[in-house]
Amino acid sequence: MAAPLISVDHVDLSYGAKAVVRDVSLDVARGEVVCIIGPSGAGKSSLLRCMNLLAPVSSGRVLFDGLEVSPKAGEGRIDQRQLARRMGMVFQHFELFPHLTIRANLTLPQERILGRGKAEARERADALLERVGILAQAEQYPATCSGGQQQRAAIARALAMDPEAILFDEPTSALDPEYGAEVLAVMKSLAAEGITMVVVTHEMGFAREVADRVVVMDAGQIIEQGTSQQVFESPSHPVTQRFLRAVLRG
Amino acid sequence: MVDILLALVQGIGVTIGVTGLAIVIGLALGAPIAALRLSSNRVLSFVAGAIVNVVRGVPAIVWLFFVFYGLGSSLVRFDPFTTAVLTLGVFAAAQFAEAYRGGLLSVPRGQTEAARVLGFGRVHVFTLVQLPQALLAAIPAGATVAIGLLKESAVVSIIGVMDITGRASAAALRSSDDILIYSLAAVLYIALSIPVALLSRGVHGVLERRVHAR
Repeated sequence: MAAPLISVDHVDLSYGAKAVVRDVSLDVARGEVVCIIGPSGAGKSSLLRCMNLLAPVSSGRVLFDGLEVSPKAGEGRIDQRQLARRMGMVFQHFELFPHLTIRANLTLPQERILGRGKAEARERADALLERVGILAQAEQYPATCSGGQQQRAAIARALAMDPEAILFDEPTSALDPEYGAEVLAVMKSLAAEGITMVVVTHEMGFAREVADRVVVMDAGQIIEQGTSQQVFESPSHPVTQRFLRAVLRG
Repeated sequence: MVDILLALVQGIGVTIGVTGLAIVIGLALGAPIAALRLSSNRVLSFVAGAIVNVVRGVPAIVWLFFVFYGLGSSLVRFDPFTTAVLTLGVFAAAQFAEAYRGGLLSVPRGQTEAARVLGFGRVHVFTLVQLPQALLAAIPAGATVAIGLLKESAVVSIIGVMDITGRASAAALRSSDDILIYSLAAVLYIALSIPVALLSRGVHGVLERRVHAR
């Protein structure tokens, strides 16, 4: 097997005395789609945030393409700004910049960070907005768009940086179901394209259908993982069984 | 009545001058104070917080006397207008600092996180993402400070600056129409503050509709 793109190696994350991630190790291969599921407060989002330094690990380490993810750049390491060019993130609450139009949300980072020219950035932005179905909203401000449109714009903003991987932190949790479906459709098309994705989600349908691997977390630890078939059809851990019964009921 | 009004109107320029210059000083000086106050360095933020609270906690008239008669008699002697501008300017800085601070604190943390994971450095996170949103959020509080200063500026008449209030008290000495004179002065202050309020509401309204439509 090739070296993993993202490698979480015995990571702990605590805030004061509160341990939110406890000795977690997880490898994500290039092109793999990993869904992280589990009860609220299991540490799923915290684990994701460890991967891109939004929550610097308390101990252990995270490697991206063999480089240690670290607050400080250096030999064999990758800092947040370098990592940003290779891995994007999509947030639960979109976090589009409200003072910029949808298009400017996509062009500003391209121009400032990748150094693309105005015309090139705009061309790329519009191609991506068309792809996620919101080119008509390019001139609008985020607040005038639906949640589903905003989240699709946020995905397009991440894609505009040509990332090798994208982290999704509960991308549909703040959305009404019909808008969530639009977003999931976009994510499904990304998965089919082979971009590496780590998705914290409560969308069991999406996890079951799209994930190459499903990881179940509880109380800061990975309690079970496997193909979606293994995890959904024959979960082995009692917490997984109880969790799936609760969320799949009805 | 017309002659009284004409006398008072002559003070408008001074009132606008004192208030306007104090606002300029306050806007400029308030920004670094707010930045220090929000600094992660505890000493800096404590010092900035202390400055803000001391300046705001003492009435403007006391500061004015302190600078004009206190410092003026022993150290540097400024003319009344300069004293008024500098004193009100520092007073304004403390208040604008709080408006800036409120604006910056109103920007959700997710915004800075999103900017960081896109690869923006600290300076750009601040200038491109936090500041535009903070300034928008600070407009209403800033306008309240500006209107407050306009009214507060009346105290400078006490050290002989001939603003609207200075002209009014001079006119009152020469006539017995005190009620009329001070009523006219009141009308002038209100007339001056209305455009500030309308401008603030207009600008803020337009921007706000864009940014927070729902």
